[in-house]
Amino acid sequence: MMGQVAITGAGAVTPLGVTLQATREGVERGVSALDVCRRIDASLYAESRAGEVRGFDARAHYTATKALKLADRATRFAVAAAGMALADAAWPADRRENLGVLIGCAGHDTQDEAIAAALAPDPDHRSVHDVPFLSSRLLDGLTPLWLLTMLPNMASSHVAIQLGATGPNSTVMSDAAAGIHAIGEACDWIAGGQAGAMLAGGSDCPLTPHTYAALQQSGAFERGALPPAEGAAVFLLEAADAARARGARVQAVITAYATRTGACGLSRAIADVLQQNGWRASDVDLLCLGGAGDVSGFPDVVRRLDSASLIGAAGAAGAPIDLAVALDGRRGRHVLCVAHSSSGPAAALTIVVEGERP
Amino acid sequence: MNAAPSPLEGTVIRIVAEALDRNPATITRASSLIDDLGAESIDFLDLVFRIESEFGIKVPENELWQGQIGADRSDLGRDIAALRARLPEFRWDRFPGPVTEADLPRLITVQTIVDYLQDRHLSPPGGGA
Repeated sequence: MMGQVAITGAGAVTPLGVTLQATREGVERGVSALDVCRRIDASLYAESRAGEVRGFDARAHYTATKALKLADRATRFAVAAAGMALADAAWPADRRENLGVLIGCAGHDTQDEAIAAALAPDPDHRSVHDVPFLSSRLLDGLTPLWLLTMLPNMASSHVAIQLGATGPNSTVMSDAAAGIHAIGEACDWIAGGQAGAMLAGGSDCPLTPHTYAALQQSGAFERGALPPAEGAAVFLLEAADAARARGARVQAVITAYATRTGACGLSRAIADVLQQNGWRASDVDLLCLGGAGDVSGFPDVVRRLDSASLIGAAGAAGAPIDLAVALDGRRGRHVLCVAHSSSGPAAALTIVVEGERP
Repeated sequence: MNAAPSPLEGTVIRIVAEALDRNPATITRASSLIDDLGAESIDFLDLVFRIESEFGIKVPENELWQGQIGADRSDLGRDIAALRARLPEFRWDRFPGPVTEADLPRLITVQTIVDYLQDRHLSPPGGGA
């Protein structure tokens, strides 16, 4: 599919811990991080739990802390995870000009508290039926930073600004598939020469009234959908030969990527990456499910990793979190990572882990 | 030794410190929002909103930042000299040559905001910071 692209660094912020190491240890222990949601009052929904990141200090990851007022939680997680990935890769501080950023996200934080504050007091509920009144209240009471904070591309932008990554920069929004889409497209940018290296992955914070309401209305909670979760996982990707030339530790090589939509989109994406590798299903050592649920056609001996069962549905971050955990090689070297969005697109990615970590 | 800030000045310093993520103890009336405190264009929008919210006022576009110099630029040298006399502790050494119109945003200080609010006869809600 591409010139070989290597993963030389990874970082994660998840409900299991604010580092990748803590997340791996949490997965190893198998202890659930799901708990009653504290971000919002979710008691009126059929599901009131969430996978929340606890003990996270965004200031420790920002070089210019003034920018925090423009950063929602998904953006802050992305900046932290990207910084960890750069450090893990020992990426040189003087090589940022061709370092690109591509972060996937499933949604954005509409900052409902700020909107509610702007509309209050409204004892007659006029803002519900009088749009000009609603507009005037928002104009007068909503901070001008509101839009800049909720834009979905802010994760990629803040990563670039905080880390000085002045290469190509974009955002993928394809629901739960966005993180894998971002990694796959970042590989293409590297292979195509548009970027020397890429920070790519997924970040999300769907712990909002909108998310809970949507899941409730669609009946997802009644069907047993996992609670929403927040977090991020970001990788430093670079051409494998360049990584070896600079003496970087290649943690894994990305060997195939595919995306499909429509009927059986996930199955077709999986078939595509297996074909690119010349693998049969039995050649896969580890299946990272990324919250997509189990997939058919794989023998029982193929191990499964689905951290969503421990942390909840982390949107675009779910599949990248599984991928980051799998990089330690403890569960297998031939790894297939899948992501599936209920809204359509599906993605599959294969990596070959370069040995087991000490 | 600097005099203790007035209640209005203290409130403005608190607002500026919160908006620009600075320690209020490091901010004085002569602090340049751009040169000393790192303010960027979006921060000026943010500051206007915070001031409007704090004092319950509306600030017409750009009115606040015209500050000490005003909209009339016909005798900039005279206006700058007057400002120098009123704000001697400002870091005037940043301008080794004549101050030009392009330099004016760098002259926006905490005092600029205090003056504007005083001109509108406003005092801090609750008496101060």
